[in-house]
Amino acid sequence: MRWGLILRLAGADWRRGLKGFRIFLACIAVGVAALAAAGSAGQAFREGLAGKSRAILGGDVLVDVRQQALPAQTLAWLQARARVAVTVEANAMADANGVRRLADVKAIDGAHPLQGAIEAADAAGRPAAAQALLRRGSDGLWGALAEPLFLDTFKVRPGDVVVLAGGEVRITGTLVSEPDALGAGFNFSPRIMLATDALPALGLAEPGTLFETNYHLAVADPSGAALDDLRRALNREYPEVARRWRDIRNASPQLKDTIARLEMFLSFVGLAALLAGGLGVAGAVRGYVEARRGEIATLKALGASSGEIRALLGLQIAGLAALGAGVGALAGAALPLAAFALLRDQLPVPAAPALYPAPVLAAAFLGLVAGLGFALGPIGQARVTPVSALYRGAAGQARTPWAERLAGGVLLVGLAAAAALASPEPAFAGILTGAAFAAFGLLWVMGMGVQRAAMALRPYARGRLAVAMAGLGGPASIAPTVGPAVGLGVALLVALTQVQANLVAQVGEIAPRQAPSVAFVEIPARSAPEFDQVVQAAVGPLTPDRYLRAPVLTARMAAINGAQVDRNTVTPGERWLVEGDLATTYLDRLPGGQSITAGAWWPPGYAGPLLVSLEEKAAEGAGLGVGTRIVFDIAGRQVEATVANLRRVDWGSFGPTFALLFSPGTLEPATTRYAAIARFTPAEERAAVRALAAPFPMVGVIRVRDALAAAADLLGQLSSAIQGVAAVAFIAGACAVAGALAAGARRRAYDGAILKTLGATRGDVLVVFALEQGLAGLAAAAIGACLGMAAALPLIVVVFEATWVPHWGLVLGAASGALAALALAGAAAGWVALSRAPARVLKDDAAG
Amino acid sequence: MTDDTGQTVISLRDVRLTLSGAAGPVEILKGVDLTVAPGETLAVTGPSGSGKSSLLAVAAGLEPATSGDVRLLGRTLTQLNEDALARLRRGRVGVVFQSFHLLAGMTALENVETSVRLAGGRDARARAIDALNAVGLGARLHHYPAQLSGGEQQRVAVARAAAPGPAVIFADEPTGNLDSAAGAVVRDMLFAAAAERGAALVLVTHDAELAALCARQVRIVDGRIAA
Repeated sequence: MRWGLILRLAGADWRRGLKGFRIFLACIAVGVAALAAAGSAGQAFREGLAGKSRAILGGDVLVDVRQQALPAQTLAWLQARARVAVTVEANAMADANGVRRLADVKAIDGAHPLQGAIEAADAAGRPAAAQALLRRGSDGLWGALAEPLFLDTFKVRPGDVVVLAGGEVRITGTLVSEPDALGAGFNFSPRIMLATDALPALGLAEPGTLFETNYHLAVADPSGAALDDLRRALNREYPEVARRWRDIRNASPQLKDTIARLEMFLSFVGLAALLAGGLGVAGAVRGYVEARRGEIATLKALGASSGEIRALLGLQIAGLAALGAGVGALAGAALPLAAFALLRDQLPVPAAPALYPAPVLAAAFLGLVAGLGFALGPIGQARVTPVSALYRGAAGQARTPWAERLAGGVLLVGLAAAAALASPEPAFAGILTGAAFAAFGLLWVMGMGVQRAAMALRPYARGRLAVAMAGLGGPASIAPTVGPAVGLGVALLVALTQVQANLVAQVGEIAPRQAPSVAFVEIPARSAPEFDQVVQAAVGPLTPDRYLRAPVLTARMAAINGAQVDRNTVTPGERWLVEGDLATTYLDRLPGGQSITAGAWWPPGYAGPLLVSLEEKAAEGAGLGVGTRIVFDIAGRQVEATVANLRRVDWGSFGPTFALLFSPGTLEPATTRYAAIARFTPAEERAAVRALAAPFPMVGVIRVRDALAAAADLLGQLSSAIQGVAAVAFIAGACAVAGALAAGARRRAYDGAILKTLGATRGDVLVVFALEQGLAGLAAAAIGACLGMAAALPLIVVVFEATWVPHWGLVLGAASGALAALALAGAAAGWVALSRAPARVLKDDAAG
Repeated sequence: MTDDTGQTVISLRDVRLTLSGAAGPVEILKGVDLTVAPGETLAVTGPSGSGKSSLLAVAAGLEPATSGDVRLLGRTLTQLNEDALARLRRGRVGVVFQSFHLLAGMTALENVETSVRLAGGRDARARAIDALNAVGLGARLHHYPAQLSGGEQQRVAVARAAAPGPAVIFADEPTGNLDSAAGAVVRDMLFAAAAERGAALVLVTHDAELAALCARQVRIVDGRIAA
């Protein structure tokens, strides 16, 4: 191997510039940019969250308890070791100017916030201290801060009085921002802030009602070791309180999971872009070899070995791939910076935009691997093609040698493994990556099938179609390249648009038909029958198909089979089962529309030891089965229940759709409140709410219809993000097709010139190229659409647990749009090819 | 098969061709006058770079002349756009190139068949098979160009030019890339194809022996007809 000579030759080639390699560079750059952007954005969100941990928790540690406050002794124990601020969160009905609906109430004590400051404005709109505005006024009414949404919803202004739960408050100012808003989670209800001292006067946060008390702790030494010491000490004294501990090291595990999934999803699109782009790379390298075939033949004729030819081409391609990866990495690093700068005020999650070298370098490396992996085939073909065949123009017709096939395969498997390992969730990413590679392989095989079919069928075709099919079935067919590029692009487009359309339909159309239109919460147990009577008087007879009332409890898993709950053993999608307080009830009979999938429902009139029924998928995700013993925290007490059965639940149906259902008997003494769901017309709903206002001021009314409309709005806003991701898929596919077109440009110009010599008009030639391209894409678009549907269906049914409704119009749109674009690209490329006089094209080809 | 007067199939008057090159414009043809009668065989000879191939390209409508009058089969080429030129060639003008210029993605049969179909001929497949049988390639119908020798490729090119039954066949150094035995075969087939169809044959060659087979010879030197 004469490396000096090879380097000199490669250098001479690079000096020619990048003409003819823009598509090659674009193919690598798009995939790398998408991967680098996904990695950088994920890192920025993670760093942003880490930087805001204290704000999210409102201190170094947060201990939250449900439906109770800590006993004075426990609170004193905490206060002896840290500064403590107390906040209470509850839902309560608010009533003003004829508007009566549920409000999100947050009450704070004098110490809150330990971290940052609440921004508030007084009645005149001037910045003011929140604590001062929350004091009791001279008229005896407590002050309250309302967020702008509250003011708009209830048509009130600072100075107005609002009925809230069992009393009245005066709006004294506007709530502008809270330092710990992120930790509050997502709530559709308008928010109002009070002093904790105001709660008793309003009848809020009383034992047995639904509320949450948060204890925010600021410690002198927030190091990990000191926090662990404090937690251990708390666990010794008050183990049930220690279980509710969260600190700055893992302030928001759910948000972190969400970001990890978002990053994985974006990385998957980036990888698919790299795969589609890889085809463009292979096409561009084929075009490169084709353009250089005379020189390669001459070098071989002069005595260059095939190894030296491989080294020379490999060096040239590696240099270009590095350049493409570099351009993509820079773009990918810059993209999130620009996006964060633009969307600074609209981001729901804090971000720390910066240049993060690790994800950018990883993306560039993956791009380089993909570039070389896909380039090895054409390089191998060129090196083993005999000199005479190269001169005759048969560079791409030799079989790819095994060495290059093997090396290319190893690089691509390495690419898949590296992509999966670099993801925050390697197992899930591995499945996605495997699926992407499988789809790629299927589409490639399909492309070969199209080539064979065209070859077999072309004797039966006539006219321009015959010429197009000859090109498609010939040895330089574009079908094996265009197939996977178009197929992957269409599959991604179809999957994304189907998921989006299904979710929008779910909350906009399906759920309103099936789900209750309104829910009533906090119905006191002692006056439940009276509640039914008031509702019945307002809306008429209450039949079980439109009105259901059941006791409601909240339960949280404390231990499973004697061991503490470990969230890491639960699949990420089902962690809600072990992490949160879940609403539940106890029932004698299995509710309609639900079915047992394992074990058996308890016999009628059962009053033995406590049994629990679990929703099938959540139980599987948490590794729980029939016979598992689970300790639950229910209303501040610990009770053990045995899993009696697993159930399938249609979440969108009308009924007690709870993940947990308990057997009757044991929990009845703990029942303090009921909830009811109803399917009412808007008029009936208004009548019921009016009728309940006086006798049941504390009963919360949740308008499911409104919540669904708000969710539909939110999903609508996500559309642009989804379309942005779809655009990446489209651009990657377009780059690959451009690569295929570039590879065939010389052949197209040559064929066009000969066809013109034989008497074909430009129109004829353009139709031939458009047909060839369109036919190549037809099967790919169809299979891509099927793959997209196959990917969207489990996402909708399994992950989102929604009703699947195929949107054929969108499928047809994506597939026919891609086909039309492809045919137009073919015609456009043909137009370029036809721009020169045939004599010159043919003369150049003979020389080349 | 003739022009309006029935006298010529090709007529060039003061034809000039200037192409742009790296070092500025290059004058290739410098005022060429030439006529070809129906069924006539004409050899255009001359040294390398004299403009022989360019003259053929201009006469066949493959390269637009910079100035002058070019008439082919009664039509003035300078007045025709690319598509009209293509339609004029359809079935009535055959071209054989030194470098064969077959469609690489098509078999020998498809290359010839495409030519007949473009000419609008009936029984395209049968005529293509006949034409290939005539050039001795009946056994290689389904081979791709890359699977054929140079001589075989050129025979396919001859069959492709002759199959639609043209009025004129242009051949640019048809034996230039072939050894003498293969060249002799192609030469004989080319003349036979032209004679059989009564087509005029315009040959560009520097092979004196080949030129001598033509009824008339013109020599081009430095872009001008010398004799």
